[in-house]
Amino acid sequence: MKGFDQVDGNQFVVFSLNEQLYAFFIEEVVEILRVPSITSIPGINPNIEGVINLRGNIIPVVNLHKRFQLPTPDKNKKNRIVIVQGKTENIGLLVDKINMVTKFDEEHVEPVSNNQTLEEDIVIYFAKHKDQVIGVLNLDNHHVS
Amino acid sequence: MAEFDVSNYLGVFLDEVDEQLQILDAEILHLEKDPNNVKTIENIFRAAHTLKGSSASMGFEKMKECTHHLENIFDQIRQKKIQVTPSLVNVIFDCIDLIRRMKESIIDGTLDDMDIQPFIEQLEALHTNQAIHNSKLEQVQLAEESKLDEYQKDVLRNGLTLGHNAFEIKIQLFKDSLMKSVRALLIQNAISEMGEIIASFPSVEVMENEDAFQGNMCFVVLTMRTKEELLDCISQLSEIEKSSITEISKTAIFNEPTSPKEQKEAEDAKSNQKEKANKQKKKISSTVRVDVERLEYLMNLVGELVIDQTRLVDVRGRFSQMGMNTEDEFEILDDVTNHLTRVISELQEGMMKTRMLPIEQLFNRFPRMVRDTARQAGKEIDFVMEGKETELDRTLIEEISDPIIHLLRNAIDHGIESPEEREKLGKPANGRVVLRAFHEENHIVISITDDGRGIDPEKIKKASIEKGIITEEEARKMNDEDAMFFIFKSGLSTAEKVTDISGRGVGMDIVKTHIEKLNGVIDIQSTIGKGTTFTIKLPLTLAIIRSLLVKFGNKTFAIPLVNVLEIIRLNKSDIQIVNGQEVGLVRGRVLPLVRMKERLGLTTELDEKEKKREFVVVVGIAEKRVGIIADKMVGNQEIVIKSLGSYIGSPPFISGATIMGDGSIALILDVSSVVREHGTVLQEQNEDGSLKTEVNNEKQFVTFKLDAEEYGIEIEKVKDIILPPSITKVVEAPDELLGLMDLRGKMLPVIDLRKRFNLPDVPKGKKSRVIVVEAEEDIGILVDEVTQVLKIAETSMETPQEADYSKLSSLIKGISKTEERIVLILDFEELLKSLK
Repeated sequence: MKGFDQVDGNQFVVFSLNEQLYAFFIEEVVEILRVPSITSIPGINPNIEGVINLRGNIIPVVNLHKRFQLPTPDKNKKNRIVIVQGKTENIGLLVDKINMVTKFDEEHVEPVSNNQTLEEDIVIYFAKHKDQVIGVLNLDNHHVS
Repeated sequence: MAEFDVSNYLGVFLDEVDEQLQILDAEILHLEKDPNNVKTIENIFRAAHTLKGSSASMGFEKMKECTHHLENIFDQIRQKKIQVTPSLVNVIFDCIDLIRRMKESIIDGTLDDMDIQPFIEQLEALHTNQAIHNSKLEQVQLAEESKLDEYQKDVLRNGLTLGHNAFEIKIQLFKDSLMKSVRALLIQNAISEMGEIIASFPSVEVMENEDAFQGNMCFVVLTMRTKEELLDCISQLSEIEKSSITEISKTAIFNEPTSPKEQKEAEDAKSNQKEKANKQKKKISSTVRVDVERLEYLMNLVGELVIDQTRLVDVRGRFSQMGMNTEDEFEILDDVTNHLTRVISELQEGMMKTRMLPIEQLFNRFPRMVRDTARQAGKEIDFVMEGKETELDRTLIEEISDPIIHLLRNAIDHGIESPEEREKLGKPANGRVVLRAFHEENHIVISITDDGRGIDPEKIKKASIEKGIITEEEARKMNDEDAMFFIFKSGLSTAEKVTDISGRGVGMDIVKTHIEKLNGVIDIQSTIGKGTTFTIKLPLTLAIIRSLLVKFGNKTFAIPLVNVLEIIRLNKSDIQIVNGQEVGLVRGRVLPLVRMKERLGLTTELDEKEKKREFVVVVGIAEKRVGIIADKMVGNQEIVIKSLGSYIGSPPFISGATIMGDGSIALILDVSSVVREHGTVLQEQNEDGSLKTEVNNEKQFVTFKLDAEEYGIEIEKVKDIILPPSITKVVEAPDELLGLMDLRGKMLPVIDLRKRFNLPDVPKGKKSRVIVVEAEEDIGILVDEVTQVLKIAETSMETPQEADYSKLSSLIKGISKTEERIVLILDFEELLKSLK
């Protein structure tokens, strides 16, 4: 987990899921792709959409909508797959669109209070950016339960 | 010089120990048979010596000591001072086993804990000649031995090729000499003035340590000067008790250093020996030892290349579909692709070959084991190994060892009868066990055959019932072949008594598990009283495999080809439900069927068309068989197995994924889990006794058309169906004989059945075929069209009425009416007769 002091000066990749904004630390992101054809695999965790072929490597793709129990919207040209570093391998995350790469001012970031139960382990900070609230995701825990 | 780090060489050393132990095993077996064979003794001696040398240079004192004693024994055998007796051989084998255990303990780091004293004593007891003892002691006293590491040898070799002389200078200082270290330093300085010191023993550090240094030293020197000059130089130094200078020839560097004792004792003999050894070395092609991990890495890269290459071929194919063939650029692309394909396939093959080892490495362990087992069981065995040179992947060699050992033990302990029993049965007293390995397409086949009593299926059934694996009812219905496979069940043994060697009923279970793990198939053939053959079929390599691509729904799956036994099409009527499980009837045997699409929970958007026939891929793992129903066959392809990663884990029935030519991903079907889940149904087969009888009364016919009529001919008679080839006319032949055609190098007469049946002549159409029929002399018959293979129950056949078919009636032996189709069954023998 990234310490709070790391927020300052770090860049974040901001993306949206159902109009809600989320962000990753940029150093956790390997690359961002257009959605290639995804091969589904029968009999696995339903949150995993399937696997893709990334230059000869097989990468699992997680459907974040399903993971966050959000309704899955229709496919869109702006959909992207964010490849992030997992613990043992790279993992792709399906998002609606990539909004920007930005820095947050320290005063606009606050850690998630403990009494918030639902996504406590997934979102570690909330950042305010131009009147919008962005949830910074904790990659260590957000893997499919 | 001093910083010779042994740990770097540990792997090499262990490999070498393995090699030498194997040589020892093999050669000692020879020796037992032929105690006076000089060459064998030489080989043994050399191996023991190498072992001693290398273990000493690695600093494994206990191993050195043990091998040293062993060497002494061999030395005496060589000098004919002791006789080779079975008891001696046993002691030697014990000793080899001890060394093997030492090797293990070196790996575990527990060598120092081993107690070798009893063995040493045992070996000492065999020394009959006290003189050897003395010389041994003397040897201990003598100067340090020189042991060169690879780097130093290399320097020497280079020096020698540049025209330098290499000498080994051994110097012993007076025992009571004071300040030995200083003396040594002086000597070292003097020598280094004469040339370059490549190595010194003990190391300079030891020499400087007054307490540790004993006054014996040995230098290896590279110099332009002669031996005499060196001798002069050394003799000028004081307090030297004795010194000797030996020239190191170029060839000697390749050999293990010999101890000074032998150098003195057998100066002449040695040079001969070295020449011999040298000749042998030359025969062996030069090798490089490579870390397996590096090979794995390269293999992965080749895997990537294979994927890209298939993609390239795919793109090229699409270009040509777009009709771009005419353009120059396309031709270049074509060239490049073809060339690349060739290079990559060669690269892949080469890579695979580097990972391959001759199975000899494995096989060489067996004669010894067979001998021991046979002795224990009190049996006489002639053990034959064939196909030692067959190569297979090194990972496989390790894995396949256990199963073979078990099968061999079983063959010896259960299979082969005791000598007395054999003689009673009129068999030769010595049992014969044959271990064979050979390649078959992309597989390696290993078979173990014995000429013993064979497996009695009744016994197995009895044992299975006793163990409660099957009921008596089931056992009665089971056919012998299936019963035989029950020996793979854990806990089942038909041996009357449990011996030290086998009989507890676990061995075969191990065999099965191992083979399953390797995606292999095992088969048994056994005749009571004649013997048993186990056949193991394995893929050549584990990383890149040939696979059959099929579609379940719209998803492509790869099935490892090694597991695919055949692909058949089953009529709906041949699929029946037994105990809620779909089974297919294939040549009278019942095959459990799996609808993989449903099993995997795949749904197709396309509305299901009711198919008359289903594609069934018959797969097998170890002894079990299952038919997998697939929607479509795509083809076969070389695939690179990729893991799905730990994140996804291992979904049911899927063992991995692979990347196809178009970049898409195909999943690899885990045949073993499918078979494990569904293959068990085999034992419940023949539940419905009527199934089998029905099958027996059915006959299959190839039907073909002539004019409007449809005719049938028994499928057993049909050898081949081919497109009409060019037919050479024969002069003065009967009308119906069209001429001769060439079928794979054989000339066959072709008959025009139309002419024979007095039907009007028509030109050959697109659907015309020649059916090659088996007779005394194969014959081809030209027909208008081959329609299908039809199953006709004998009961639904009628005999023709003379009136209807007039003249031809003799040629028609039956008429079958099915669903408004009339098929006339030809009596082929009659037809042939009428032609003559």
